[in-house]
Amino acid sequence: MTRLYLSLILILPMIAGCSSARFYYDAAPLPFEDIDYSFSMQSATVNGSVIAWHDSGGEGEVLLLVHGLASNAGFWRYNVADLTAAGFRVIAVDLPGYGKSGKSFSTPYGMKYYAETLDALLKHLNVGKATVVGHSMGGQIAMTMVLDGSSHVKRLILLSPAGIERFKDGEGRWMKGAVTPEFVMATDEAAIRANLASNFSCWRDELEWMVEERVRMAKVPEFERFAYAVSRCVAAMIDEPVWKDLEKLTVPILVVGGENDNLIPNPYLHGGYTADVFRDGVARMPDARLEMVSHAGHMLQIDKPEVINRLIINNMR
Amino acid sequence: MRTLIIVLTLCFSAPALAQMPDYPVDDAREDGVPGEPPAELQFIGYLFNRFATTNIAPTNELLRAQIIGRLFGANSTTTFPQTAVFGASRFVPLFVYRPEIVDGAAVFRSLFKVDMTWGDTNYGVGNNTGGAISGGTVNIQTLMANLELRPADDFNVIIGLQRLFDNVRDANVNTLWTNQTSGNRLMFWGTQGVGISSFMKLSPVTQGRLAYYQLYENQIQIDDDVTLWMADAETRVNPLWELGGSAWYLRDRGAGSGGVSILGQGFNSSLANYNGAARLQLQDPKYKADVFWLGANTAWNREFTGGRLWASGLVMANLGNITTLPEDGSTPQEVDIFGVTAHASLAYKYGQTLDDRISVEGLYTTGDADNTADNHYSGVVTGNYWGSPVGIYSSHRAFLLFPDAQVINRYYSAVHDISNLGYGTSAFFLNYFNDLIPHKFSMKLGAAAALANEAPDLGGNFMGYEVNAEFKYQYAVFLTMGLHMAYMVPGDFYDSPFVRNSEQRPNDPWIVFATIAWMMF
Repeated sequence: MTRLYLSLILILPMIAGCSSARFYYDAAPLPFEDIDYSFSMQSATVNGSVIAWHDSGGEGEVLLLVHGLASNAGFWRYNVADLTAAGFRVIAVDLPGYGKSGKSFSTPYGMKYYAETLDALLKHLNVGKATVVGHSMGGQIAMTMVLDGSSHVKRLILLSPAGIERFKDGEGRWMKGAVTPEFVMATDEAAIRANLASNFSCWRDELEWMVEERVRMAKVPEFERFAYAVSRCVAAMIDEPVWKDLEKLTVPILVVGGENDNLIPNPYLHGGYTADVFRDGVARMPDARLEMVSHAGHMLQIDKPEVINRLIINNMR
Repeated sequence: MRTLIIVLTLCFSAPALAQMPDYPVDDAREDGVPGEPPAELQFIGYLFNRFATTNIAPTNELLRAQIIGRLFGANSTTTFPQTAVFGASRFVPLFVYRPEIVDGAAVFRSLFKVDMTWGDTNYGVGNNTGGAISGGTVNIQTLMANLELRPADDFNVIIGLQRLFDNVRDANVNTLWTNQTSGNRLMFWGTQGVGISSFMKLSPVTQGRLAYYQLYENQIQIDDDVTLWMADAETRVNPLWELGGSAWYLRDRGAGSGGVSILGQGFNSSLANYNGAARLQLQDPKYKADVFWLGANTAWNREFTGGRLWASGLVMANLGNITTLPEDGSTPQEVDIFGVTAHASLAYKYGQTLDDRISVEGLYTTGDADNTADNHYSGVVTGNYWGSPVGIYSSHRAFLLFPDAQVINRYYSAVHDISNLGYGTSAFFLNYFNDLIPHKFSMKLGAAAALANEAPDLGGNFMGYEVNAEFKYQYAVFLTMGLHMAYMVPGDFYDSPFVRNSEQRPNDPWIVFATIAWMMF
């Protein structure tokens, strides 16, 4: 029996050798402007904020890709090339507070602010109509654009969108109180890895870049501004709900959810099936349909990029 | 013309003004929305209610509600043809005080345990008995009252009554679940004690703990104390692989004096009988002992951070010696100790959540068939010799064969101390977890079986087996309702009259209990 246990313990190093996970605490700081998205970015001052975006150009229909909380345009790296190759003009934006965009403390981070900023960006780029593809918080921003009367939105494709799940007042206050800038800044490497892993149906080695990027960018002074933006965005998602107004979303909408989404519904506050949340929301939207992706977590466009790209392309036809 | 220029200027300047940077890029944090300062006084509460029906009860009239230790052992718990129905409640408030004026340099924590039985007495051995009416059974114990000093960012010093865990992690800020599933899993030390400990960050991936606990101080003017010294370290070899080591030393000069009320403490005290440890048959009641523990533990992908397989293992050796102190001038008895514990677990996450998993777990502890007759004890030593309960191995998730932590003050199981009365054990656990509704409603089906590595006189090696089931429903955030059930078949180990407290072999024990647990933030 002793031999059995010792054998099991000796197996562990062999298992460990199967992973390419490594530490980044001793890696060089990564300034936000140096993050490699695998596609080019440009920037300008729009709606009072410095905003960065990628524009593939071309004459095709416009897809505006809006990332979620605590991420950036680089989180579309598995999508931009395929969608561009499919003939679309792809615009992937860094929301103010994130990525290569400005991170002013005095920016009024919020859903309406982001909606008006994206509206201004489309105007700045002389885009008439665009399909807005929003992931998570980006989905709530996309819905806010429609509710605020943006004339640029042709249709919405919402990937694991925030804003459909309902939160009671007390729940919202609890969430807002939990995510402070200091909380974001104090997150250590192990917690960062665990948090990122919770976005996926199963963590894979090829996702290591996400841990590296997050750990290294936490070492630059600008990170405090990022942490502030994250904190304010959590508050804004609670304070500027869209779930009450889903009936007013008159544009065509495709909602895509992951069947293994561990973040929607909130695992601590609600629990339950992601599909149930989205099914209820879609039922209230005048022109919407739901697609659930199997073996996929919250970060759909990275967890199942081929499936998501195909869904987007097919939905545009 | 001049008016036209003004009008045109205004017309063209309006869009331009809309593009002007209203929000300065290089502003200061003070320009943002002010955050609320953290509260100086923080309250975290834990409320636990348990309503049970079982065929297990104590025969000792004194032990009506406060029953700790080995099922069928000296605490008089055994099985009856009748069915007992009872309830109990526990409230555990934690108060954390971080006065702004010291700006994080000091934190005070206090933790209390308020126990209420539903009608019967509470803490029979603690001289606190009373009727249910008028709240007479409410019993309060202090679990923590400590000061945390933080001289630097990378280490702290905790002084006072605090958690005494066999884990390198600071128990002030880590969950019970973490302590049950990492380090040494609380199987040796999982209690509270007064002392000084320091938790330190030795490198970005390495943490350490140094601790000193004073378990007993009998007569302050003489050297008759029991003290425990602990040193632990753990590093991450890579992000998913934890490797730790422990070295502890216990100096026992208490000679059995002190301890839990009339039970006393130490190697030859009746406390060992209650807790399921081996009561060593020393030639003299007075003794001195030095015990060392040296061990290593490891875990791969704990809590499935980086994949679907979670593996862990630990090996712990306890060694030392006991020297009796005969008062009649006779030759002292010298007993040397050397025991080994090995544990391994493997879990596979087949579904979406942490509760979609299947796990196997094994425990092996060396045994000793003849106690100290050969002046050698080859069994395992845990903290259960010096307190009750102290070693609380419960990651296996069995309910009757091994201890389950979901209890209030009726806390018993067949193999309550991993030394298994000194006979040692080889135990195997299998659990299937399933989140029927993700993060909302879960179930567990489990089985456990154990052998004694040394058989008692007139008995066999088979301790028995258990099957169990559990359902848990999350009613609200951190408020969970559960229904749990277990049935155990005792093995031929209990053929021996020396390991049971009844004339006949005990009937098969069973229990069904409902729980309501609320973690209050």
